[in-house]
Amino acid sequence: MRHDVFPLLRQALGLAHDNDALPEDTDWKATITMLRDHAILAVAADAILSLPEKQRPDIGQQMEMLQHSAAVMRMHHTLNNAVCDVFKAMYDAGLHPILLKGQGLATLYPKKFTRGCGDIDVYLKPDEFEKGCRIIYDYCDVNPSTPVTPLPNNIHLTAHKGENVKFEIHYLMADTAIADIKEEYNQWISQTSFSFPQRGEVTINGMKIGILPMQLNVIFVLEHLLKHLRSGGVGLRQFVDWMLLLHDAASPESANRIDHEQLRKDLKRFHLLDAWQVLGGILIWQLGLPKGEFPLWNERKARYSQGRNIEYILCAGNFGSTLAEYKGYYNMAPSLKRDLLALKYALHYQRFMYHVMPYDTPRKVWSDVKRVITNAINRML
Amino acid sequence: MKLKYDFYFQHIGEEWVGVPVGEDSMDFDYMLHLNEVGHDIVEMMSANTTRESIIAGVLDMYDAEREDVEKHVDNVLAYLTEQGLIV
Repeated sequence: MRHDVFPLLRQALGLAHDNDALPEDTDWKATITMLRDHAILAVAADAILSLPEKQRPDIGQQMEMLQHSAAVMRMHHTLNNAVCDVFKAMYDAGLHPILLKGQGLATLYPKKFTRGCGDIDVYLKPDEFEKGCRIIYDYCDVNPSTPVTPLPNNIHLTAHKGENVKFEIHYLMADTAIADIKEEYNQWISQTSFSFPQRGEVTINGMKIGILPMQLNVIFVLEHLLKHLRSGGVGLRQFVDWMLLLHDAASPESANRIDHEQLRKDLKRFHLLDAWQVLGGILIWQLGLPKGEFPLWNERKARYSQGRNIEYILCAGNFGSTLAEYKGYYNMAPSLKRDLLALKYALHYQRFMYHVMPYDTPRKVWSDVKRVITNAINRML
Repeated sequence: MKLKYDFYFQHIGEEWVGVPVGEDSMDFDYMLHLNEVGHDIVEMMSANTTRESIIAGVLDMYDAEREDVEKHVDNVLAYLTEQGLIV
């Protein structure tokens, strides 16, 4: 059942396989729930609502999808207007803000305004941070006396406008999945973001908005995906983002080609090459990206993304929201049996993560094992 | 005249169902349910148009008597006006 989503997604993304059979006899309640958990219901809705009548969900579920899609589209209008207002004010002030993640990637989707959206992530150069922050605070009617000093162990400040618009104002690009490289990675990406020969940009409401250069953005999106994977659950939306970036870079009209050798060097430097090559399997086999469009393809490594591992990702959902159900032991009372089950899943997951992040995973495994042993001993005492 | 909001339409069951999607549509919180011709009329009204152009458009698409088309277009326009959806 879970894999029914992929032909639908490929269809919706314009990357359908020749032999794709759209699902018949689908458990729509579970499929719609899963699509929602992975923040891609509005993306897939068009493909679902284009199925022959007898294959579609019931009328109530179709209406629910229509309303969900409309809500996502409205949200995009709201967020995009806020992006344009704030970026215009910052450009007028001579600043060089960069729009990260969501709204900067949403324009890549074949059907506009369907990517599930959330916050507006803005990155500001360190020497422009205070001024840029004040402009956003002013737009959001934040009390002018609110400090703009970065908080320790945090990578951004937040500002809200009304109920729907939330800015995350980044002074660090990322809180990396691999702690050891946090400083070096942030330094590299912030330095190169502003000095890269090819500036990244998207057009929103007719206005050019700066985003990361493609060569950096593909790494940044993967790294962010890994952070979610490491913390328990990543939505398919993030895989779709990554895939559409690569698809865009490979298109004949693209001015944003990727330098493969430079990419290999950068990925190796930040211990991300394995993750790139393992998780790339999902982009090719599940999401339909043509192999030729994936730089540094390695079929042997890509196979590690399949089988039980893709199942794990599908079950976990965005932010790990549905992982409890998958693990099954979640609601059990504390006991040795529960600890052993937890350990079993942790070890299985870490075996997968070892292929994805071999540099970092052994330490994580050791910390999981230690935690289980400590818990068991504490209970016995 | 044109529609006040952008609408997202899908064919569901026997009818076209539309939901407004522009930011300014937040205060219109219900769906439009239209038949095939109604949907065509509304699609024509996404850009500025006139009653006459709509009637001509429908006559181009359907093999129908002008009198019937005029009546149908007027009904749809009256319904949209009543809902406050025409500017």
